[in-house]
Amino acid sequence: MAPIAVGDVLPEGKLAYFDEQDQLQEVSVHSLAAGKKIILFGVPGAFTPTCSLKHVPGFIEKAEELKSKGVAEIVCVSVNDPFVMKAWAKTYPDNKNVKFVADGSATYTHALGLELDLQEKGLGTRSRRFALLVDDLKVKAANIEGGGEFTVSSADDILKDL
Amino acid sequence: MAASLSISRLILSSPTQISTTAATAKSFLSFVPLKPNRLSKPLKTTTRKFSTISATISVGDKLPEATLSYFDSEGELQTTTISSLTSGKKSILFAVPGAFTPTCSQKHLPGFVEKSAELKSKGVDTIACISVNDAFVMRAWKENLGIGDDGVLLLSDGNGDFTKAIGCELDLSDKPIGLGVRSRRYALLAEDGVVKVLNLEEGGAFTSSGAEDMLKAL
Repeated sequence: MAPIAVGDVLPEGKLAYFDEQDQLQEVSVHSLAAGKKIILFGVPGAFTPTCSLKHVPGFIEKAEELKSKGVAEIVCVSVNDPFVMKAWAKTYPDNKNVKFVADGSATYTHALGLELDLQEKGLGTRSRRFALLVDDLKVKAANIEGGGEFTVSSADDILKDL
Repeated sequence: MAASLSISRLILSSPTQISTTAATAKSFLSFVPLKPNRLSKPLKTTTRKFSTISATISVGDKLPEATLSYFDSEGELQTTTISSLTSGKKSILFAVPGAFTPTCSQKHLPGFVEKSAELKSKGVDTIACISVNDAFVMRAWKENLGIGDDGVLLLSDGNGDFTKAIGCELDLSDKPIGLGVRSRRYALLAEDGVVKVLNLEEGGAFTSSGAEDMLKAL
């Protein structure tokens, strides 16, 4: 699959998460994104340094500003299971806006064409770091890193596209 | 040309593609192997990793060598091997299907942490918890449960290599939950790397693989 690009339609897929009642839920990407402006950003791994200390906090900090510019949902996806995503989300107690969802088998990551092979590091297939701005399922901005670097995919970068 | 083209390795390019238990995998071996003189060059294994299809480990077996990883107290990524964990020692290795999952977090691991001193007083040198999770997640789990550095080691079998080598995979890929291939729950006692006691659960059940059960076996 070629990596997702500006002008593409965001592919459909299912992502998992635990709701506030600790029930496992599955969300369809299209139902989350249709008719709205959303930001979907991906990280190589929950609990890894850049993801935890820079990428995610950046979006949590800028969430209000992003929302004031019309973004309805800010979703963080990683190839981790939903138990791990839930535990990771809990380490950000002040977070009110960023949703943490699991792409445990990397199915959605494959659909986006954004796989990152980290088998050598004992991490298996993960996602490249990225941030997408999607408006009614159409990709308006696709800030995709080569691997896990953090140069174009921050909240500040995507704010410029709004 | 070496006649070492025995088709004894499963094709693995990512953990989620494993879909057979050891029993089904063995049936793959029953077809006629390729004849060496039909090939002009050796099979390329550039992007595919092969690993031995193994029968499930049992009492009396020597544990296969493998490398596991963890973060040390200074935050440095380290690796250790099954041989260094078990050679010349009495070791308990227990495995969980997933870090941060309920039974693992609330019962299995805490049970061993609680009983670690008692187990050590009975001559156990090493107690290690193994999971098919990466080392970052194992470290976060350890911190989340407030587990110190002595007692139980939390080790990552990130690509599931050790788990596969002992035939203890648990395929959870078809569940909507997205867990991929994990380890069956088990607890084993090894002396100088040879399995003396093996309490292996069917999947993630928790009936015989706890610390209490291990204590009784000592």
